[in-house]
Amino acid sequence: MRTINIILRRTILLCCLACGVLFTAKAQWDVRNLGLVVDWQVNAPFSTGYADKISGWGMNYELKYEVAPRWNVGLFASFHTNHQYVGRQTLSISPTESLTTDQQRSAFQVPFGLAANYTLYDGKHFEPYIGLKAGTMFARNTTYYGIKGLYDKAWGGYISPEIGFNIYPGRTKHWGLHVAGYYSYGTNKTCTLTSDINGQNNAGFRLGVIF
Amino acid sequence: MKKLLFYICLPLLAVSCEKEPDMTELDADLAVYTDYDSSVDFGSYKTYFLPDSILEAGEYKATYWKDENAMKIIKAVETNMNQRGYTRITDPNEKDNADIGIQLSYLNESYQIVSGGYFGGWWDYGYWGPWWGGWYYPYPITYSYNTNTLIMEMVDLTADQEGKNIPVVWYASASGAQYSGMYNLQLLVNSVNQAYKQSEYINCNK
Repeated sequence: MRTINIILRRTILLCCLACGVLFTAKAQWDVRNLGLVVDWQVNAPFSTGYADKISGWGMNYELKYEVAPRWNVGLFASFHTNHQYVGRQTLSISPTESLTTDQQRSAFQVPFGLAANYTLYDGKHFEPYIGLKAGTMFARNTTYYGIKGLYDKAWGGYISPEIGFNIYPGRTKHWGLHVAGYYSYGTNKTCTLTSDINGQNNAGFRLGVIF
Repeated sequence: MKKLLFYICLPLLAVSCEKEPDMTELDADLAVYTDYDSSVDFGSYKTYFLPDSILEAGEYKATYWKDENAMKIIKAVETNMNQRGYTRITDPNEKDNADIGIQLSYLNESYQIVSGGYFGGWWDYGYWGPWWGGWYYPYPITYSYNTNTLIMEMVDLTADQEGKNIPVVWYASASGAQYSGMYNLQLLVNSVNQAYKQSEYINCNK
């Protein structure tokens, strides 16, 4: 866990340095180089054993600037909620405590930070790219049962490689469609009714528009 | 054109983030919780005393629930205890000779909520259109809901009485929403059986 945190911190530092270098490469500010991405997001947590049912309850926003040919850097923020109903069962919640109930589990994640993209092919209508997002993530896991509910929340580091493409149907690149697939990892550590979650893996895709 | 599309999508930025889960998926059954003192050998007890009433915790003073429905709940406790090999002492004058005592309590609570502001989450945020963020009431609203809880406590009557405090060696509670302003007798009886089912250490037949 400590090693992952160190790697994550170094990655974020490297991203910041890269942003600095790239900004100096195209120091002249031009609003036409600014881009906004608004995506609908489908996300599936995995390896947590908690609320890992795929859902489309999320959005992703990016504000990017083309700092050099093919290079975009900027800010991103997204949010997502995944739910999972777990049927009635007897849970051992401590060596002496047992609880029989059904559960409605809810995992809410809000990552935000820096984003960088490299355009693989600068076509007139088609722009595939690879990207990396790094930052921090807020996570809250809530378990509803009976007439009660309990939750735990935590902050953690966040990193997410991404691959995608932009489609520009018009003659200009004033607007287009955005499609991306991603993997993400957050170092958040939370406690739930039945177990501890140490690190959150996610995979999903995004569909949206780019201006 | 770019500017126009940007403003069209701008409301999406204000969409409320968290989606509430569908709480109607949860069943109406009671959540049954048990805990016990792990230093106690439940096999060392032989007899128990079980009162023929259930204490009903009230707002000002407790009353005793003694009708035929209460008897069905008490009977479920007796049946489980007898199946585990314990012998019930029924004469109140003989209760000093019992190894353990079982006290049953029932708590009926009503929550009255007077509030403006966020309520529920039963309707999806996007139902009336993605440009709306969530729900709020510009005037105070009132709603209420009822819950009920059955508590079972097993006390050790053989413990050292110098301290004058009787140790509770087993605790069980069954709680849930109350519908139509009435308890559900079958759910309460089932919860007694479930409490014993998940407490296999309560056994004199070992």
